[in-house]
Amino acid sequence: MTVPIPRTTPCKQILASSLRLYDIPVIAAVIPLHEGFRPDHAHLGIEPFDLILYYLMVGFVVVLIVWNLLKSHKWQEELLYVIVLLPFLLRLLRLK
Amino acid sequence: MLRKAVIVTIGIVLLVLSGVSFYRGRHLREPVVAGTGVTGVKTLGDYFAPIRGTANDAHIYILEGTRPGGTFLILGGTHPEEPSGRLTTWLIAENGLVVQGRVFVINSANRSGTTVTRPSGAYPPDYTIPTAWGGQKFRTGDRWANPLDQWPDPEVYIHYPSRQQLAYMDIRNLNRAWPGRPNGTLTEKTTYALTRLIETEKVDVVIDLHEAELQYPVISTIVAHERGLDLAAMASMTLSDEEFKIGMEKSPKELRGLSHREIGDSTSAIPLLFESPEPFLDATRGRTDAKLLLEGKDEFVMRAGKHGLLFEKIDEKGWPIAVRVGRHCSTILQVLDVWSADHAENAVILKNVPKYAEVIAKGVGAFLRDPSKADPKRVYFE
Repeated sequence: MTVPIPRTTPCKQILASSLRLYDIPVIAAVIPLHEGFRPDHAHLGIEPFDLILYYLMVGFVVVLIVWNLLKSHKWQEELLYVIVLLPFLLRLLRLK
Repeated sequence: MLRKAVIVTIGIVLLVLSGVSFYRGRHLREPVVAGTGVTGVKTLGDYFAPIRGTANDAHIYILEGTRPGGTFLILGGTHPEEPSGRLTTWLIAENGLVVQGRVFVINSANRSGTTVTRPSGAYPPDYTIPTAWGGQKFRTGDRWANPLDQWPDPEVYIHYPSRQQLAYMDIRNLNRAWPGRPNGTLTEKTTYALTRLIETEKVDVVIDLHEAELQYPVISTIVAHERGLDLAAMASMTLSDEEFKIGMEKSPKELRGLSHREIGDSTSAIPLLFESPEPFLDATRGRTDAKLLLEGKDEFVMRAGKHGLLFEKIDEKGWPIAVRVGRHCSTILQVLDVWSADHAENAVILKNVPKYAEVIAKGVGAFLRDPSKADPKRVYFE
């Protein structure tokens, strides 16, 4: 069996991936869909791009939560921020 | 400031405790003592180089007889949280002896899926099979590959090449990713590597070992591609007459990505998928612990049965792991018998693998080998 490799270019892949990443299905829908530029092909060969972007986003959220934690004056909020922070840190450290 | 420090310290303690638990779960080493019947060990990377060194570069245990014959591939761990499939492959790799033909055994078809448990599922990270030498620990695993190895998921998973739309998380489900593609996700690359193995080694029959919740209609059965219906029917009839009740289902053409559909459509091999009952997977289960995983006893699932909500019977005895592994062992042996009777030149004769009654009588642990007493060169880690 020979599985055909979809025709695509890195530029299209990155653009399609970005559209999917930022959840812009309307824009994705109006762009002419042809082989190599369908949303389901978006992840092909650019997983590292997605992955790095997602880890950057997780890191950004961690910074925001820590910032709020430092600025907070209520112990209930501080505890909440610490609890919310845990899954983000576990993902950032590639533990869960 | 002191209050903040105390709260942050609590957070760090929780982070360390959970982090250590997750790390141990992901890196637990599961020994396989290659039995005398194992004539060679390869990895999936030998069939598709890009998978080499990844989480899914699974070991392939090759049992080759002295007489030429057919070739079987047995897949365990497609869904790692269905442990009887993996344990069955352990029993074959550690005890099996092939007289004629070849048997390829993969214990961790989706190895990545063995390194994670269901988020919010409160799964036990591992379970222990008691043995005479103290017990062997296995990772519980999940149905899907670890998000640490393949992330993020799309909003809708579109299967390749059918373009059928499936649930988003099934992009990490090995049994929704057949036949795979060389430039796809890790899961798709894994099924592509397995497809390459099937084609390269001219595999005649692929057996994919699974378990199902009792509320799922496809249970205690052999699911067969249309080219394998005769084989499955004969095995099902014989087993139901001689050992235990097992049904047969025809692989639906409409549902794509599954082994029993895509392997049959894409290669010359005949795919069969076995399902045995696992109450641990039922949505109405009680506490989700290793006891439930191994004993298969649950009062809530039993209550569901009394209300007629199940597709398989359950009583106080539950569905112990020995029964589930025994069913897989006997079904494999029966399929081999039927195949060999119909294909004399391509026969595959496998010996030393315990049957249903023997596994129940002695327990699964009786057929696991002590890695500490084995030749280190024969010990592999999943």
